[in-house]
Amino acid sequence: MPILSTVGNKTWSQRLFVWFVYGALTFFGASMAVPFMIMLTSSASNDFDYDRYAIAPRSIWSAPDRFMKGTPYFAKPGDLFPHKPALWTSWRSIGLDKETSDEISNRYLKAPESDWARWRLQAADYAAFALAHPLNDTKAAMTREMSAEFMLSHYIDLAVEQEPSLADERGSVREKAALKLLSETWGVPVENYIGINFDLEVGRPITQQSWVPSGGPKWKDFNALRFAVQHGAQTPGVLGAWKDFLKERDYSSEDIKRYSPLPMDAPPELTSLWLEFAQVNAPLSPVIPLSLRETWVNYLTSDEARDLLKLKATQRFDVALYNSLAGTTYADLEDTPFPLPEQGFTDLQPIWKSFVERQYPLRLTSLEVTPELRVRYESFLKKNYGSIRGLNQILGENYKDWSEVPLPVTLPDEQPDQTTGLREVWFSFAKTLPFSDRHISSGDASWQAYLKNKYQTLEVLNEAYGWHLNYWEEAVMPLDKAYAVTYSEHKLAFFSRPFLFNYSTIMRFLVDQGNSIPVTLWLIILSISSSLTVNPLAGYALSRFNLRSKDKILLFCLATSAFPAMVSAIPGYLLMRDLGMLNTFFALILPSAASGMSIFILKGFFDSLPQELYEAATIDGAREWQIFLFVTIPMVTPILAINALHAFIAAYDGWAWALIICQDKSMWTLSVWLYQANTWWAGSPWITTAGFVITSIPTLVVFIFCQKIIMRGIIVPSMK
Amino acid sequence: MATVLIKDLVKIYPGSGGPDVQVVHGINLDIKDKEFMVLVGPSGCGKSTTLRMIAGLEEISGGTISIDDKVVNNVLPKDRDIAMVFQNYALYPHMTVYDNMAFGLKLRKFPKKEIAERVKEASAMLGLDPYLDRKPKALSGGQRQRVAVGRAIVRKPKVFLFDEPLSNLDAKMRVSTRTEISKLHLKLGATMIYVTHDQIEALTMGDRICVMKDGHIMQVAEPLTLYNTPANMFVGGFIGSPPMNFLHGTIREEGGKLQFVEKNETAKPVVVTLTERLAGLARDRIGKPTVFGIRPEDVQDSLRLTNPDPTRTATVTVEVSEPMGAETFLYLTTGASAFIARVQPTDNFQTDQRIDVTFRVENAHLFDEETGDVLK
Repeated sequence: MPILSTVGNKTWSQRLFVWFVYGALTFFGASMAVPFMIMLTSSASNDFDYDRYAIAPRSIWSAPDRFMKGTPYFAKPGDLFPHKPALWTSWRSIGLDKETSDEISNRYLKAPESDWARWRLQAADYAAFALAHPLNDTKAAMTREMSAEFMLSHYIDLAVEQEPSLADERGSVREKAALKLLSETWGVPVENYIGINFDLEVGRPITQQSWVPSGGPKWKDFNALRFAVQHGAQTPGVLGAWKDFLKERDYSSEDIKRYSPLPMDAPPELTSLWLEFAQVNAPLSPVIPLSLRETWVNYLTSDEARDLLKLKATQRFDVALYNSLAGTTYADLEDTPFPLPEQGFTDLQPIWKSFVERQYPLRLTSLEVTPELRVRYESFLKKNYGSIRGLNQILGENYKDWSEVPLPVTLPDEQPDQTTGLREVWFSFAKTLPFSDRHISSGDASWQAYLKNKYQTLEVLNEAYGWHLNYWEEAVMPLDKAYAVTYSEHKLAFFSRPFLFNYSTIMRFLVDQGNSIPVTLWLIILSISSSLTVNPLAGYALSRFNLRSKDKILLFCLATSAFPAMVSAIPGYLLMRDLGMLNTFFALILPSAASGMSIFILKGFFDSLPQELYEAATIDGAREWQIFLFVTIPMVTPILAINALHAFIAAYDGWAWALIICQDKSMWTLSVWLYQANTWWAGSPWITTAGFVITSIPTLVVFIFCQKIIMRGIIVPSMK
Repeated sequence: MATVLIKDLVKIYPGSGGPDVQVVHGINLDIKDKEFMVLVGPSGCGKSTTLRMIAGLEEISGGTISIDDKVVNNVLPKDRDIAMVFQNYALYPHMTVYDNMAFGLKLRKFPKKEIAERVKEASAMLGLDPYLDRKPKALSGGQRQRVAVGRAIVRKPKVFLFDEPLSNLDAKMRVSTRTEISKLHLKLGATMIYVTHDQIEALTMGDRICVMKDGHIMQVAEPLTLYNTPANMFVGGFIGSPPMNFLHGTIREEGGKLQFVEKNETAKPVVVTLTERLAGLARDRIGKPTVFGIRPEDVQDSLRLTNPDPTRTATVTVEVSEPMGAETFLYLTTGASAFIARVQPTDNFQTDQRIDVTFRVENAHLFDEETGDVLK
């Protein structure tokens, strides 16, 4: 009798029960759909919104969200915006702080056109300035994937240049040659294109006093990459717009290809064209001139500055103290002038001097070489190196007298064929010099110089920019405005970038990994066919023939499914090793070829078939294998479909066993590579998530295909 | 076509843990070409086993089976050139009607064209044309039955074997299919061996009937011979509906005539004067336990007879009256034994009514009570 009768009116308690059932079903349905939706959303996310774990990307309907989602392509969390909230220390905190993030975004998105006109001017000025700034003195927020892709294609070109026959080879062969060349050039082994990165170079302590660019071939490549990134290689939508820009100017398609992005050795004509283009279309690039303003503010609030000012241990340097010392009315230390103006700010000058002497990067320092300094230099040399012979040994030179030792104005460039001796000598000498002998440069100062050169007076500048500066030194680089302009020019590209980037990156990775796709396909085919052969045959034999100890065999079959698979992983590995089957398809397939449970189920089904069916077939002239193949198998297709589905899922999704049994990377399946990708991109999980989505598509297709067969149901012979 | 000769056929199933079980005890049967032979008997009589041995589905434990004078004991079923129709049809559920019929031919690698022709022919013969594309699930019982027959026909085998093919059909269908199979036999002119437990099927369809019991053949004869002259009590009791009545008693001589006296200790026994023929058979059995067998139609209501023979009349009690429409069965008792009379449907009888019945002794049989064999 059914729980709910289909006849008569339902009582309230019955209705309640029905609602409960529907509610429960909806809940369980949602609990299955929600994780998948979160995965889909994550696969279209980036640093900014991954940690939200939302079921749909907010950026679809929220313009401020789209705006903020583009910022990770340019700078560290929140660094583009002046006066960023104190809590904005990570992308996670920014992404979760929707209110503030929206408010900041709306400042730009909802600004009046008059503001935008000024911002476009600021952005254009910034672009012109930034492009002229030396690459060595920039910060660059570059993705590893960008670096890898760029360097790989660069080295493929180089390899083909060296070995023209490579041009006709397959992509993987060219890639291998390129990686070999790259490893030789850099002097570090790089096995995989994804291993190409500039993490060390990007993460260098650029604001430290003693840090200097290392030079060398990798550094040169790094600069080439930075140049490309500066010229639109990484900014969403920019390269496309640049190509159109060139096309409008009647450049041939080869030229367009050659100059996108612009190479370092591009002709001046194109360099100026780029400037024209960038000022309007892409004023901001991820390569940003280094500002030392923050280092200065940090120094002001450091213990050292506190000691210099003889402040109490409990007292902190803040903007109020700054204003009282300098007689100014700043709202934030960020707004104070940098570098400190030479006039005024008397009480702050000692701290500034100390900052320059003790903290300011020496590579940004130049000397005014006077005869008097030259004297001090020679006495420094005598004191530190004793004899000219000793110095010659260090420098690898053959100076006869102290007076011959050169004193460069700035840090000498590293020469690959020479020792770095002079550099170190200059370095240690410059360190000893007082403030008055040092001339310092910085991104900030260069920017201010650029403005001074263009606008001559502060009044003109303030008028043009809508600023209210009292000192040139108060001028900061308008990164936020440059970003707003860049973003507004390429809204669609910014919006689609995370999605496209994540998917193309992971696709590139999965397709590129050796034999992953053919290996996976083979494994699936072999797994399914072995499972569809072994299990029905075993079930059929157990059902049809009077074997001795049939019951015990069946019990054994069932017992195998009582243990979790991982229990047998280590013994299974040892067995495969002793059989010499490691790194072979046998090892991947054999352990799961027979499934006790499905043998049991199939045997049960074969048992339930009427004996007459076999007899009819026998009399019809069928041999045993024909009965098996033409009579019984077609009746168990739904069971076999489930079997095949299981075999497929086990082969396709199973990475643990595949990883244990195959150390040889050429035998790794997609799921093992995906596991590898997961460790590889631990810092940017959205890429792996896109991989999860992609790899779940075949499962879905197979499932849809199988479910048709499964839903058709088992054909039970009706014998009436 | 083909003859089937069964000689000393034995079937023994090895007992699992117990003694071996013998289900067929050295039977002999000669089935002629184009004959419709019916094997009939109660459940467990060995008729199906015999058929399955002919088909080759069971191993032969002893004796021989020959088809067309060729011993087939060690010939595989598919090489015996036989076809079989099963009780539950055993159609392949995943194949269409067409494929079901064509399967055997396909396995034998017949050319496609010929397969199509043969299936077409069979389906036309069986009226299956509209159903060729259907799966068995979508057919009625009778249609499935015809598909099963069609599957046998297309192969044009030497011998057709039917294993209770009608028992899954409803009563009406059974009757019509019965005639169809009979017609088919005439049309095909093939040797057919038909197993049933239904004696009516046996009587109506068989050219000859082989009655079996406990692995022995009781009698092989044409239907009417079987009905009128059963070889033993079993055949008499098995063939005919309602079955033959048996009264147990002895033979005695009274006034120069032999009489059958019923063994009855509670009431006045039935006494029947035997005919010349029966008296001749019973002469040396005076005083020996003997069974008097008489068909229900030979037990007559005395009132209906103009001149009932008083020496063959007995007074009995009506237990139940079963009107069948065209006739009425009266379940009667003498006090010691029960028997049935087939009487006119117009007469009305009450339970416990005492009536006189007259036996038509010329159609009666006498059996040896010990062996059950008819006296002859």
